[in-house]
Amino acid sequence: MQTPLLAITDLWAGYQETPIVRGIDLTIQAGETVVLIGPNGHGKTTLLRTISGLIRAYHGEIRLAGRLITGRSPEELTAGGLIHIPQGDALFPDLLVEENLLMGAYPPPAWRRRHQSLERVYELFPQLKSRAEQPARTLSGGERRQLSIGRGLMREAKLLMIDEPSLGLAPLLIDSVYAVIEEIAKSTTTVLLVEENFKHIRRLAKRVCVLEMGRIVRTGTLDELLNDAVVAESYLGVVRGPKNGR
Amino acid sequence: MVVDVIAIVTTTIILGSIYGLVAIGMSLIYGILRVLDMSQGSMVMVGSFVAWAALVLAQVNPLIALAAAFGVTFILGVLTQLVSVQPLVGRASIDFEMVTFITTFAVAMVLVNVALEIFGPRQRNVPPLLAGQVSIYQGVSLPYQSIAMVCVSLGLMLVFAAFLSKSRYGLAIRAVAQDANAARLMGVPIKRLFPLTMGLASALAGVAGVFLGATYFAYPQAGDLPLLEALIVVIFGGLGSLPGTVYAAYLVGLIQSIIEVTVGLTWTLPILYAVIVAILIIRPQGLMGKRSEARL
Repeated sequence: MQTPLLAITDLWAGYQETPIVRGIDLTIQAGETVVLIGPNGHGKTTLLRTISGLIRAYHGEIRLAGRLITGRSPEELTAGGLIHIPQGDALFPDLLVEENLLMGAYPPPAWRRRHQSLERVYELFPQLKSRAEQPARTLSGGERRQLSIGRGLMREAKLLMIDEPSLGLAPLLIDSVYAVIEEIAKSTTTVLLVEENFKHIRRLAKRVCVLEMGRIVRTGTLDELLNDAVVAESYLGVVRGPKNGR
Repeated sequence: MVVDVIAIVTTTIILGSIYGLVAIGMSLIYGILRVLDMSQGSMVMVGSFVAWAALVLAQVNPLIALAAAFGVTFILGVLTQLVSVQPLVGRASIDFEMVTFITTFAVAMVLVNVALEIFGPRQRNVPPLLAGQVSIYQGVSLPYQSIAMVCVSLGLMLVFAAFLSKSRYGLAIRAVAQDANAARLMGVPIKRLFPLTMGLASALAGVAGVFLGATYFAYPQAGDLPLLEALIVVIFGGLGSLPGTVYAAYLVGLIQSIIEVTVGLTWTLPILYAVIVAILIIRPQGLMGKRSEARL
């Protein structure tokens, strides 16, 4: 069997003394797309932050393409092809929109291709192009999200992690963002998403993991989970009507 | 009257440039590391001694003296960061700003005492880089040294500004100042960026020392007054704001030269500080400082 791109075993992590992630096992093969769902505050964001090295794990190990990365710094991991587009955008408020995007191309190989990458991002989010010379703090919420995602697309990734790509975006933009994610997912890039709204992930997700109380309690395809009464009602917001049976 | 105006203008430019050169590094270090670097003054002192050694002992070309001062203080700045700041970065439950204030102050004390040990307490005369002067108006003349000082200071500040706004590393430095974690997610190696920043800032102070040493002298405590002045300029301009620091440097220079010309030298410092206290009471965050927000 081929080495999985991401292999997490018995991972415990959290803030100070409070564990949020409580023993997660998760294996993702190269090229796979996995979506994490589950109630807020149950560890989805913490899991991503631990993988990208922003939080130190208490226990357990994370392997990226077979290499042990637990305890590595985020700057090392990003240079190695891991991209984490965090919740809350983490923009540089006083840098211009274009400078924010350029920061996404910081590693030298990406820096050399920065002009092409910029064009691609502007094509995707024309709104950003018209605001290129403005400081990021002047953007609206939706524009910030676009900038944050655009910045993540400024370089090539082995593993792309996005924390709620649709949060704060207008429906039309959600579609175009997901179109891009789908395109990326079709390539060799492995994608790990956190998403609350299952409608967006219907075409994308081959595998969905339900996180509850810091553990993965269910794993399956979206359809399997939708057929699971408990999961569908609690996490996917689907209320089964007596008529349509689904 | 005209003579007074010319004197005020030239003094403002000369004082402002040198204040700016010493203070801009301090402001940058605060903006990025949240460290009020108390070793900046001793870098001025080291720069003066390097200039003295190069010009008097080795008798080399003035440009080589400038480069040597830049290089030596750059290395010292990097070492200072590695010894007194880096081990404290990211440590839980300490007041980082206060602790590094003390540790960089300790480094300054070490440097002063090492200088005392090597060179003794005597004041050394640092020759000007350029001799001679040009007369610009009845009785007012400008030493070439002052012109060189202004040109080098402004030149370095412009190069520094261009570096920060255009280069990949400069962009990263500004990004780190605004959100260090986000910058790390972009792949910025902050552990390497911090020493580099402090080295550059120290080198600017070292170059200032070459000129200040010629105006005053090279001696172990030569950095005390520049440190105090830089602190005032940096706080006045708004901690961490580079444009604010430059404005403040020239404003302090202007206030100082007006008082010098109209009231006299004895009252210059008391009145200057009174004015600054008054302005800070009205605007505690400084000229261009922001509260609780990224600053560069």
